[in-house]
Amino acid sequence: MRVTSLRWVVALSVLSAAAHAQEAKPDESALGEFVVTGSGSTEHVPKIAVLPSLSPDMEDVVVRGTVRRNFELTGLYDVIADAKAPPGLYGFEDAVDIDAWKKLGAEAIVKVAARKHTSGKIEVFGLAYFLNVGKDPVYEKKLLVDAKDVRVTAHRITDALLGALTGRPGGFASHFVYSGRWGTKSYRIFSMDADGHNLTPTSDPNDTAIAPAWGPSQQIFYGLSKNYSPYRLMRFDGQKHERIALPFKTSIYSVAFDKTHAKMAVAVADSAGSAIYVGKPDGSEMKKVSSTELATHPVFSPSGKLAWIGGSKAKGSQRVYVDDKPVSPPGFTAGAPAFCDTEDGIRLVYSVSVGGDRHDIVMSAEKGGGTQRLTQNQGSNTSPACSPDGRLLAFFSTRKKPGTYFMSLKRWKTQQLNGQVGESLRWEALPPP
Amino acid sequence: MEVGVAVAAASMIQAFFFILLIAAGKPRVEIRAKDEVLPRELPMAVKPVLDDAPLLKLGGKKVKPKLPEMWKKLDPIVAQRFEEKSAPSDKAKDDPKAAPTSSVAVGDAAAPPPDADLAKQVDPALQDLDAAVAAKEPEVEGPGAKDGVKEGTETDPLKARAVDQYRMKVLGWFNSRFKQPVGQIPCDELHKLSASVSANVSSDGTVTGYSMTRPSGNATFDAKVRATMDGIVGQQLPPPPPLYPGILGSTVQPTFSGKGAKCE
Repeated sequence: MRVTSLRWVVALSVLSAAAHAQEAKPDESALGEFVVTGSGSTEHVPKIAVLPSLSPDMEDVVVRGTVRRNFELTGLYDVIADAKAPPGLYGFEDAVDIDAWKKLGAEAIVKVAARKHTSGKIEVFGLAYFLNVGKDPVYEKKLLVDAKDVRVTAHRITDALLGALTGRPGGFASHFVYSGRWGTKSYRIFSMDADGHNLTPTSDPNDTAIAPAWGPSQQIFYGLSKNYSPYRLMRFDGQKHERIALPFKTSIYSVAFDKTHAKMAVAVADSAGSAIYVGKPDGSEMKKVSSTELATHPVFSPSGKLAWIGGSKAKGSQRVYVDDKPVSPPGFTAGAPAFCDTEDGIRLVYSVSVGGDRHDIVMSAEKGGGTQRLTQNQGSNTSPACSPDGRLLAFFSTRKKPGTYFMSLKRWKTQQLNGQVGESLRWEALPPP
Repeated sequence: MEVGVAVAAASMIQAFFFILLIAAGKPRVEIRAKDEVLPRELPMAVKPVLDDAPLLKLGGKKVKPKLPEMWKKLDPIVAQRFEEKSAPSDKAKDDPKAAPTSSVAVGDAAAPPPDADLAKQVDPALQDLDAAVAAKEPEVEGPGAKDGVKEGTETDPLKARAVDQYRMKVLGWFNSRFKQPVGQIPCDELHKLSASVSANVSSDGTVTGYSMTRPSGNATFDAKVRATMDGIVGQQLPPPPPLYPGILGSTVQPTFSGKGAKCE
């Protein structure tokens, strides 16, 4: 039997996500009664062990290192340091010493490993144990993948393990696209994996390419200008670049897609300023939806709402509009809105100009209100983008070490991903294998 | 002669004048002050009338809008764990074999609080409860979890964990919206009060209404609970985890308790 890349081969006692998600009727008694005392309940940070590996095999090192780093990035857990690991065997099929880890305070144990398979592929497996349940794993998954897919498989394993541990799968099997400066004159489109690897320029270095977004079938849509001509909407499918036929002769400033990629929104220059049009991804059935004089940077929320940056020359500052209503605080020039589908609900994140050519990132409810400031006095922070699971926020920052940064929306801890700085950062999940 | 008469007449006139002055200085008639008539107090209803005219703007400097300060999350508080310690006691048995094996506590070590994580002595009431539970038959047949309880019904440890985490999230959501009526109810009384509520939840998690299923009996406390719930109606609860969307039913049952009130 020939096995294509990333095909799931063996699944041992898998409690699949799909099966859980298909619960038909709500369970009225699941939550039960709970006592509200008004006191701020201290959040419990569970200790978790990601078992170390003594294997010198590259695939094992990559898988384990990736999974461990992902767990640390989520901010959900206090990951026990490798130095505290109890002595023992940590091979591919060695049993897990539950009692020894329990003494270290671990509430859950994650074991991941990878090794070469006789078929020439790489065998990857992941296990999760709850120490209060017993010595049998509560989750187990084994995969057979091509060697080039080991890293992304480690992300998929992490996502599956996070789903098992929390009920919300992770968002590490995902990728970025953004527009970055190339030389002193032009901008190019770049894509990279969620862990900062595989950074790849995709557009021609002689052109100016801006405002990319992930479209249907993992195609990159972006605006392209050649020799100062108006920006045209382009599509890159991994092989070739082609122009999207739109009923506009003016510049296309930016593009966005809804959750299902069934709707496309574009910001189009017009005689008064710019406007947002929504239609199909092939450029047909375009209808104007904005009423502001200026309207750029559209973005859809997971619930289908459409946000953009709107304003007028008379009013001066630009604000975030959600479904044609201003939601960002007046008096502040806002930019680059994005939506995060967090554990606490959908949140709107955007940057705000704070003077001195600096921006900070703020977060509010989906329709505005309850504004929280996420960055302050740390350079200029722009272009926020949220992970598919809503746990992490990525953005560009010019702080002491300029680059792309991750912020855990659970712990508010910020970590540098790499040294890339650009504009119009978009983050989207990889399609299922 | 004429001079003498003139002097005598002048002296008489002067004397008469002085006598008249003295007589005028001692008046027998008293002039009484006129009594002031006090205004009569009449109660009357005052109905304020709003001025329809808009208030005039006071000139001033342009107020620069300000963003809120960056919110810093506090580090979670690590639960203090207490271990078994031994200390000299008058009630100790006079038998070396009965000496405790645990380490000896330092001089003025604090006793563990009643709600310490590691409780070495179980309340008699809890022992009775354990005995009652032990007498019950398990409600679900088949193999169970190592730390399962007989009245437990959940067989999927992953779901049980997800439900537990989601319950804590919903609890935190309610906790952040409920303020104890400290200062309005005596503390001893407040600690004993609790009121149960059944809140209706729509399919998108919005609290659409509520009813108080068991009031506390204290009007102030119940009014506080109602005010809290009135503010909650229309707000969205945190969404359930995507893999278990059904764990948030059409109602949630919070019980508001005064037990956690911090009185000073």
